[in-house]
Amino acid sequence: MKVIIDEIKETQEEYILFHIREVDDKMSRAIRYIENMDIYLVGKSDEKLYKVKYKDIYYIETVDKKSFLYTGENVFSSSEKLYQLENKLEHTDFIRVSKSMILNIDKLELVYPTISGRFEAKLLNQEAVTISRSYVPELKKKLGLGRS
Amino acid sequence: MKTFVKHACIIFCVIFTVLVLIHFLRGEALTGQVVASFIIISLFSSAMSFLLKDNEKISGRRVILQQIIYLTAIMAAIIGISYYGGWKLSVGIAAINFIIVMSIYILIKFLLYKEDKKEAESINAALKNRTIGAK
Repeated sequence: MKVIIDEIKETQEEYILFHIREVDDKMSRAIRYIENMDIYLVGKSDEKLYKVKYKDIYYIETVDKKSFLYTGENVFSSSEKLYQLENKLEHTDFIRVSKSMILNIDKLELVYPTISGRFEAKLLNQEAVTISRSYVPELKKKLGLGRS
Repeated sequence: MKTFVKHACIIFCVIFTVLVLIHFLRGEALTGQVVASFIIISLFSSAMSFLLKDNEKISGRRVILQQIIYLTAIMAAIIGISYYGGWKLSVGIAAINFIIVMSIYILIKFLLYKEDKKEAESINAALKNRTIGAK
């Protein structure tokens, strides 16, 4: 597919225009990615509030009833509950992988089983997180595998 | 609770069937007392299966430790039933029982791991396709 990029002045509004025959799966994903690229969650670190972009978040975890947003370099706390964040991220590439964690599929490098009978996920930053067996079907569904 | 009962029933059926099969293969008579002891061991094993439940909060090591405790409890049940049943359980027979329990455990673990590996491979292939598609 041909890609044409027009550089514009800083004062002009940025936009993306697609000239496509049909909106297939890959296109839908690209559109969703672009739409969510600049959407952010509010995270707190060192008593300061930050805009944390969806695409920068590796995973969101609840520890002692508090939610934390993990990016490659930083950890931010969030005032929202995990289920609230899950609802917000419903149409993005985030997926619940355990009772206490929501994972960004884009940051997922690979999945492997362990001897203890669990599944673990290796993230792009080489961190390993546990995927609960009960959430594996949902992950497969999100990736277009298994039953719909 | 419903899931636990379902899993406990499956464990009961699997263990009871395996015990009966092993007994037949050894060419021994299946008396009422033997069947009763098999039912007790299978019931005990299924009731203790709560030890195998992974509640996400415990570490991977703790999961393995709980599985070892589970196997030890089953072995203790076999020895206890043999004692109360009046069967002479020599060290050799106890060792054979231990080997049988461990063999069943390792076989189930191996089959589950193989299945999990296949599932992980399909997920990884989908992740790879997704990455290629996004490029």
